Amino acid sequence: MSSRAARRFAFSHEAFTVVLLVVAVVVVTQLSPYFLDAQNFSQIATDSLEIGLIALAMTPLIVVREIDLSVGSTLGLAAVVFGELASHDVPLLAAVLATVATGALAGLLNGLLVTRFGLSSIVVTLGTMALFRGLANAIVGDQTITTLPDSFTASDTRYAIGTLVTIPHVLFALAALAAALLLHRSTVGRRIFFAGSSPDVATHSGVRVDRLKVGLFVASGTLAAIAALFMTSRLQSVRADTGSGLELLVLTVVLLGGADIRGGRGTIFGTLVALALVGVVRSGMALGDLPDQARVAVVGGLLLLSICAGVAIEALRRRAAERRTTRRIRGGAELRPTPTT
Amino acid sequence: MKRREAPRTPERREEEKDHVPEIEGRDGAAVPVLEARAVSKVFGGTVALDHVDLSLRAGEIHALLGENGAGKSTLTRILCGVHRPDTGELRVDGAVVDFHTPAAAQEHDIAILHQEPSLFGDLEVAENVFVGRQPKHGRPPRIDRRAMRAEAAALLAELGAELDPAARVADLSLAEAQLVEMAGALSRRARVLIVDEPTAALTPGEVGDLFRVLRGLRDRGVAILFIGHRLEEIFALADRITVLRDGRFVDSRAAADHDEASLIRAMVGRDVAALHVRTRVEPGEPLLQVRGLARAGVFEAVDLDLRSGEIVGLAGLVGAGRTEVARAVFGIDRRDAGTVELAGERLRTPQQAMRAGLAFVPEDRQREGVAVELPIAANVALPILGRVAFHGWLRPGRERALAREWGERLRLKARDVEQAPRELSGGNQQKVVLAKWLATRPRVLILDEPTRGVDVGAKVEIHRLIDELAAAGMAILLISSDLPEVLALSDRVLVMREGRVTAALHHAEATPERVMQAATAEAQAVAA
Ligand SMILES: Nc1ncnc2c1ncn2[C@@H]1O[C@H](COP(=O)(O)OP(=O)(O)OP(=O)(O)O)[C@@H](O)[C@H]1O
Ligand SMILES: [Mg+2]
Repeated sequence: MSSRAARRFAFSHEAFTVVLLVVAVVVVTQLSPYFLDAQNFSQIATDSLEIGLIALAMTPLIVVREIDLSVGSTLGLAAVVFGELASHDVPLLAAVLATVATGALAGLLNGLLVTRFGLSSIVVTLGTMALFRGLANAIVGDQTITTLPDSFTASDTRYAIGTLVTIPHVLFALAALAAALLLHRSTVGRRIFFAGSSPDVATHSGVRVDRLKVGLFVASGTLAAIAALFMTSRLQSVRADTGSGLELLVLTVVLLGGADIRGGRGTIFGTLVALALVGVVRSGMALGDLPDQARVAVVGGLLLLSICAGVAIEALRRRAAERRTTRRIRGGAELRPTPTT
Repeated sequence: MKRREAPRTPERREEEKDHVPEIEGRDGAAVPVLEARAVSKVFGGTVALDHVDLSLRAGEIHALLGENGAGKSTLTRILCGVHRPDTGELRVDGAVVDFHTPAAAQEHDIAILHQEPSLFGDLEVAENVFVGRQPKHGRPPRIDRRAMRAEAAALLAELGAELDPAARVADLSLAEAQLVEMAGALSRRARVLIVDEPTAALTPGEVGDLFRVLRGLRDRGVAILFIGHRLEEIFALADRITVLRDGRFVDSRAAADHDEASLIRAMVGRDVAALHVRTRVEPGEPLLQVRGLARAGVFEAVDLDLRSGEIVGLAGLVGAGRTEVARAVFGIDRRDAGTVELAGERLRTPQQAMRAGLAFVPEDRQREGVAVELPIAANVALPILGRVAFHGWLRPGRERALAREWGERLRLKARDVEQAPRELSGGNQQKVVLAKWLATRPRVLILDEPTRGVDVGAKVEIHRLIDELAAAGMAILLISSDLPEVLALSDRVLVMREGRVTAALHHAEATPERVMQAATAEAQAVAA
C-alpha cells in the first residue's frame, strides 16, 4: 500500500469500524468466559447470516441513494409463503423457488414504485413494510407453522463441514465475495457509484439509473427471501412476525460499515466488518443476559454512533491534511523564495 | 401583525450606500482596503499559491488573470475566509486580520461571487438573495416574504435581470443562478466585491448589464476583484491587472500598460494566437438529421442537418432553448414530436445515441459533466466502460491509460488521474468533461459551451482540436454564447430565439450584427 493509500484507509470509516470491532472483542472477552470459543463464533456467524445476506444488497442500495425498509417484512412474507407450501406437502424445491420468487416480486414492486413514480424510497418501502407484514398476517394469522420437512430444518447441521462450518456459512461467504466483486470490480458496480454520486452525470453518460435501481431492489427482496429460508431452517418454525425489526439491524450494519446515507460511498468490506461487530455485540448482550429492550437500545446507539462517526472522521481527515500542509510549508521544501517586485 | 418594519426599499438602499466613506479615489495613494502579502497555499501535493501579493484599493476594478489552475480561485477563497493561508498575511485597511471563517470576512464587508454558483436549489430566488439576513417583521419575528421579494426584485432589476423573485432556484439556468448570487452580493453593500468568472455563462447583453453594475459600484468606492478569461472584457473593465502563473505572482500594473500580447505572454509565458483560424473542408455525407423536433412550451419545429466534417454553430441568448434542443437530440429529455437520425439510424435514448456515435458535452460541468467525487480516470472511462472493461470486469490500468492519453492531449493539469475532479480548477474540470467525450471517438459531437471558463491558451487548444476533429470527418454542433468563437469556427450558424430557429446563415454572411438581430426580438432590433 502506498503511503497515500495507507493514509486514506487510516482516516476511513472502515478503519474506524475495524477499531470498534477490536474494542468490542476485547471488552466482551473480559466480560464473559464463554465468548472466546470456536463454537460461540460459529453461532455468531449463524445468527448474523440473515442480516449479512440482506446487507449485501442494502449496501449498494444506499450507495445509489435509495433505501429498503421493507426487508424485514419481505423476509416475513417469504417465510410464511414457504411455511404454507412446505407444510402442505408441496415439493421442497418448488416451495423454495416460490419463496425466492415472492421476495423478487416484492423487490420489483418497491423498485417500480420508486422509479416509475419518482417517489422517495423511504416512503415507498415504509408503506410496503406494512403491506408485506399485513399479507403475512392474512396468510397465517397468529398460528405458528412447525410442520416443516425434516430434510429442510436439519440442513443446518446435517450438511455441516466439520462441527463449525455449515452450508449456510459457505453460501454466505460466496454471496459476499460475489457482492464485493460486483460492486467494486465490475462495470455494474462502477455505474452504481456514479448513479449514487452524481445521478445527472450518470444519466448523461448513458447509465440507465432507473434500471439499476430496480435491479437492486429486486436483489434486496430476493436476498431477504433467501434469508427467510435460512432463518426458517434455523428456527424450525414460521410465524407472521418472523424477521420483524430486522431492517434496523441491517441498516445499522450498512451505515456502521461506512456507507454514506447521502449516497456515493460504501464498501462490502466495511459492511462485513460492521456485521462482525454487531454480531459480537449481540453475542455479548446474550451472554450478559441483557433484556430484549436493552438490546434494541444498544443497536440504536450503535446506529447513531456510526452516523456521528462519519462526520467526525471527515473532520479529522481535513485537520490531518491541514497539519501536513503546514508542516511542508514551514519546511519550505516546495516553495520558492518570495518574489521581489 | 403589530408593527411592521419599513422594508428596505431601493430608495432606502440608496441612502445607505451614500454612507460609504469618502475615499481618495483611484490614484493609488490610499491604503489598500484589502491586501494579501506573501500568501501561500498547498493542497496535498499541489502548490496552489506560492508567496503571492495582491492589493485592492477602494474604487478600482482589479483584474486577476492566469491560466486554469494558476491559483486565482484559491486566492479569492483565502480573501473571503474559505481557506486559511499557509504562509503570509491578510490586511484590511492596513491592519492584519485573520479570517477563520467566511463569516469573519463578511464582517469586514467582503463579498464574493464564487465560480460555481452555490445556492439553495429548493429555496426561492428571494430567499437565496437574502439567505441568513431575511427581512423580518412581527413579534416573534417572522420572515417578511413580501418585503423580501420586493427588495430582491429591485436588486435584480438593478442587474437588468428579469427574474421572478418567487421562482425556485433549481429551475433556473446557470446564468440566472449567477445573477441571483450577484444580487446577494449586491445586497450586502460590500466594500470589497470579489467576482470569480461571472461572465463565462452570460450573453453579451447580460455581460453589458453586469459591467454597468460593476462600474457603478466602483464609482461608489467599492473595490472589485474581477476574474475572467476573456481579454476583451478585461480591457474594457479593469483599471489594474495582476497576473498569476503556476501559483506565482508575475506582475501587477495599470491596465493601460498592457496590450493583448503582453498580457498573454505574462499569463502563459509564451506567445499564443488569440483565435484559431479554421481550416475548412468540403462537408461529406450527411450524418445527423433532426426533423420537426418539438417539446411543448420549450422549443418547436427544429430541423438540423449535420454533415461529416462540418461545424454548425448554434447561437442565441441564454434561455433561447439551445441546451434543451441538444438534450432532446441526445435523448435525455422527452420529445413531443420529431425524429432524430444518425446515418439513417433512429435515435431515441442516450444509449442508442452513444452506440451510434453521438456524444454530448453538457453545459453544467459540475452537475452533468463530471462526478466530482469520483476519480478522473473513472469519469473519463464511464461512457465507454463496456469497451474498456473485459466482459463486464473493470480494467483500472486501461482506464488510467485512457485518461492519461486524453489528459495529455488537452493539457489537463492534475496531480494524477486518480485525483477527484472536485480538487481541480474550474477550467481543468471542463477538460475532464471534454476528455471523457472525446475518448468515445464520436462521429457526431454536440458541444454545449465547451470553452466556458477555459483559459486563453487552452481555449486555442480546444479550438484547434475542434477544427482537427472536423477535418478528420467529425460533425460538430457548437453551442456557445461566445459569439467570436461561434463565428470563427462554424461553417453555418443557426440562431435560436424563444424556442425557434430564426436564422440559418452561411459563415460568409454570419456577422455579429445579423446573429444578434436574429437572436433578439425584432422590436428590440428595430429600436437599437
Ligand atoms: N481543495 C483542493 N484540493 C486539492 N487541490 C486543489 C484544491 N483547490 C484547488 N486545488 C489546486 O490548486 C490549483 C489552483 O486552483 P484554482 O482553482 O485556484 O485555479 P484557478 O486559477 O481558479 O483556475 P480556473 O481558471 O480554471 O478557475 C489547481 O492545481 C488545483 O488543482
Ligand atoms: Mg477558478
